[in-house]
Amino acid sequence: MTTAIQRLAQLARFLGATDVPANRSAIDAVAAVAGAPAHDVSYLVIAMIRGAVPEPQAIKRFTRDWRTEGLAATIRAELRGRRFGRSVDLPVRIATETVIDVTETVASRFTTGIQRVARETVARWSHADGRPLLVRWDRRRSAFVTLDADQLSRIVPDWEAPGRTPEIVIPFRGTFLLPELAVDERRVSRLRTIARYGGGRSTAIGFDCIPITSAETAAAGMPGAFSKYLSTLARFDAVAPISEAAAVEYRGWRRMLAGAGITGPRIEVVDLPFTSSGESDPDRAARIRDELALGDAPIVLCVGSHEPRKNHLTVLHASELAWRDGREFSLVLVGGNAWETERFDRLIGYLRRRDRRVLTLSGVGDDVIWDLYDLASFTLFPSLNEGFGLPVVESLSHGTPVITSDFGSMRSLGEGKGAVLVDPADPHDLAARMIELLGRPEALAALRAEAQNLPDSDWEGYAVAIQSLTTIPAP
Amino acid sequence: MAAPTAEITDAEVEAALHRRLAAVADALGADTADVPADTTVALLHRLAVAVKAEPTPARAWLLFTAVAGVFPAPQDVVDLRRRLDLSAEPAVVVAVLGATIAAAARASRPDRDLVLVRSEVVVDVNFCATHEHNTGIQRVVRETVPRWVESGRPVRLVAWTAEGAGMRELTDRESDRVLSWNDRRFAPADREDESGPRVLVVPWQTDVVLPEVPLRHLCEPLAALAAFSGNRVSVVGYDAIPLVSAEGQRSEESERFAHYLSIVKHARRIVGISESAAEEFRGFVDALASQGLSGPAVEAVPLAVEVPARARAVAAAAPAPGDRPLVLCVGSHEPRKNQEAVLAAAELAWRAGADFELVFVGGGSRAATADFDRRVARLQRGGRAVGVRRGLPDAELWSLYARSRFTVFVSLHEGFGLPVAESLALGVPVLTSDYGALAEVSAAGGCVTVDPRDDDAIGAALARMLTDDALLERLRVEAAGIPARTWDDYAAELWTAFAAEDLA
Amino acid sequence: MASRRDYEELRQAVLDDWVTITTREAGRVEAMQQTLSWRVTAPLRLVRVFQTTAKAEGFSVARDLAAASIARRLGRD
Repeated sequence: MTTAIQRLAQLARFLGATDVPANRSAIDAVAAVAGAPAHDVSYLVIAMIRGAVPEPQAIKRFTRDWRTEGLAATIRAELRGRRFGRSVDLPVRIATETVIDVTETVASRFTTGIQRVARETVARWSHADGRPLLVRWDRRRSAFVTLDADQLSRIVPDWEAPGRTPEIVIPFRGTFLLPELAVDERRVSRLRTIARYGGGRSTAIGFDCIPITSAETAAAGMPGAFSKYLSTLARFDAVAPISEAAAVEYRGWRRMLAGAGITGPRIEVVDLPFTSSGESDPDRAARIRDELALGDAPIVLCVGSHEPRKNHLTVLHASELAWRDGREFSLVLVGGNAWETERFDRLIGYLRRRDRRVLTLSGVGDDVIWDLYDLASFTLFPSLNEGFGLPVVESLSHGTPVITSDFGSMRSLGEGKGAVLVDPADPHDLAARMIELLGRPEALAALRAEAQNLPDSDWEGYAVAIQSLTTIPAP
Repeated sequence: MAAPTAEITDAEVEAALHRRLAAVADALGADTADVPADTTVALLHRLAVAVKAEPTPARAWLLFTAVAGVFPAPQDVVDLRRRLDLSAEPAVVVAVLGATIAAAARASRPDRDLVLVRSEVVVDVNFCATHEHNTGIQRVVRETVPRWVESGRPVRLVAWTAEGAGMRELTDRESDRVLSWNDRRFAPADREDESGPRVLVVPWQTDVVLPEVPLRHLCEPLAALAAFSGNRVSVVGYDAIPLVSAEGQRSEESERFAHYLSIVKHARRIVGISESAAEEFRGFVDALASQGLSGPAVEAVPLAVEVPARARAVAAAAPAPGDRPLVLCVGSHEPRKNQEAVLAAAELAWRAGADFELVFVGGGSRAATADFDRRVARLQRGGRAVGVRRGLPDAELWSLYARSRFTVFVSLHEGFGLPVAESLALGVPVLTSDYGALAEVSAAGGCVTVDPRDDDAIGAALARMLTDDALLERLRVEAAGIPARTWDDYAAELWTAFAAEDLA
Repeated sequence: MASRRDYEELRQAVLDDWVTITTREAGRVEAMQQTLSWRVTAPLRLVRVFQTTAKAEGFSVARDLAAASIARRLGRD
């Protein structure tokens, strides 16, 4: 446990003072070495008094008071004004090394696409300038806290655990990376403080702006929370969109910032690698075919969570049109995270009453999914908006052609590499392409041939690019 | 509370359905010769068959509206088209009824009639029609729309039913609120319980203008209308503050704005109230390319500024300013309005020896004003001549303007900057921000602009404007020379902008 | 293969159900609005509206709206 006075003494020492007692003279010690009023020092002072990164408004107020009343008086007022008497039960550390916020990534046992990106990037972080400090947002403490050994092992199993108790982290004049999405309002506001007043360089990986550009496909509450996240990103030095399509969204958003007199971050695309981690195993795949009773008919696969944006109703509609055309195939849908499933369930019921072969799977392991990619004649991914489109990459890296949407990231990932492009809002367009691939083996073969010439990129290259982006000095 | 309505019978609901179907039969190209003699189910079958034969989104949208008696959400239109496509012709009635039952059951009045509007411009004035609130957006609507009506433009005003079922006519009281704001026939009253118009007003192959930002629950039906109905939707673009400056906004406001954008992305045209506002929307349109949309055309028609003759009279009649110069800061309180910077800069100026009185006019929520009020109190205890006035009657505000040497408005983000324009219209120079809409409105003269995020710059500008009489005189002359921009001008230019292409 | 008359009967039956359901549901919405509990909670809802408006638009606007609302209710009773 530390008191505010103890932490002020610690701050004075950090700023270069010597022989600082851990009593109220620490206040004057800080004032003596702090220099002229400046936001980044205000940030440090408030953070050390409170034992946590403060919200942005506190900084401006503090600096203004400092200018008129002097730092010592302002510190005393801040000490008097502390509410709730919240005890700070962890040591507080001013961190000048690279700090990476992995809150969501460390919290979840399942790996979403976004968490995969964070994991792969962090795991390959070069330690040439020292090991980065991984932190998570602790809601109860309203502070960023280092990871314990167990949490570290979930992300970077081959790092040695530091063996220390967790600490509260105050990033200062260092490099800060946000490799995931942040929607907790308090966390987002503290990230904005770090970006704006932390004196260092902040970078974020940008996945997409879909909650704003396609709010109708977002879960309730998401567009509001995402708007605040973008407000924070506006103060970052750099954002690395994962694709050119995502960059189009971020650049459009950045153009909007001029009305508030904000330049916004440098936007530099770092394409996610065209790579898939699945390993083929023909024997295992054959067993899966039997276990799922898929028979001998061609398999058409659709992988993706059941949310409106993924457009599964159009997949079902187009499939029915193909069945009516006399095509024989099994449709396999793999995905969880369902919401608004009433129409989906009804359409599945309709198809089953017509004895169509449609199989829905969820909660299956990665092995089964890789096998299905190998077994499938082709896959479907007619999503309405994507920042990247991982199923396209996964399918093509198995050599399995994909029918996907004719715009944005899906187009740029798939065009010329084994994808057929359709208007995802048109079930007849999708059905026609399905019928063609089911009826003309030579068309399928041509696409498979295209899929042999995939770009050569990997997580190593991605992590290196992100890391170097975080260190480019601001203009 | 309204008297309870008589219970509606099945027969009345079916009869209303029949009438709605009859009302759209011609538009859907069905042979209408036998319509009166048709049973409801036979008529429904013929219309459903007609739409299945040519299943465009617009025809599906219209059929859904007629059957359900409710404007559809986007997924409703998609779902109806899907069911029609998958149904064999004999079963289309089942498909249509299945697609519409959920929406129809949610409507509080299943016996609504329906009228198509084809040759007028439908103007959605829902909020102004149903509320007494009159700031910002409402002021624009209540000045512009009456002028369209008076100059004989072919407009049809609509509001929405209470639960958002669809567009409807205005009651007399509501028309009064929109068209006669300055000369009311009806006493101001809060939203009345709606036992009013039961007829759905349905735009068809015409233009729809949204001069307001719709309430959250109207965004889905309006998005469907913009995306599918075949009508051409135009929008007045005020600002993107809930997105760009979301950190100072309530999440619900940002959420509502994001859903508003899902209407905007299918609109034909956005007309911003300033170049700065237009630029914000252009950024959004740029982002749409990722989802294969080209989005609306964007242009700007700057707002008007008219100060009432009464204001000029009061300003002229006010006593000459006293010895100590008065600096006035008018505006509601929220983080982006940046009044705390004015306080901080004023304190810097006072400490440097400036002598002036600073008066703030405007209220805000307690969260927004708590810290500000504490700081003002502290300054007052220190002997500083600073004061806050809230709930000020207009006449007193105008006389404050008259006594002011200049006004300060250093907001961080505005769509237009009405306080600046009003100050200039009253002949009072302004200290304002050097980017965005405020830079735009200051370009015509009478202003000094600064970086609003720089207390020192604001303080230095305050000091300069307090002491440099020649500067002030020049600014006053510039302000007086700014060409008037009237609501007549704005209403006419806005209409032209909306009509720019193929207006009916 | 169903006969034409079967289809017509089916269609009519579906329509009858549709009409019944929508009529009953609509009445339910209106009936709820007339119940004692709805009327009793009217003041609470008014307070909620006031709070929401005050946060969104500021106290002066919320106060004006509340005053108008009260004036209207007084005028009616």
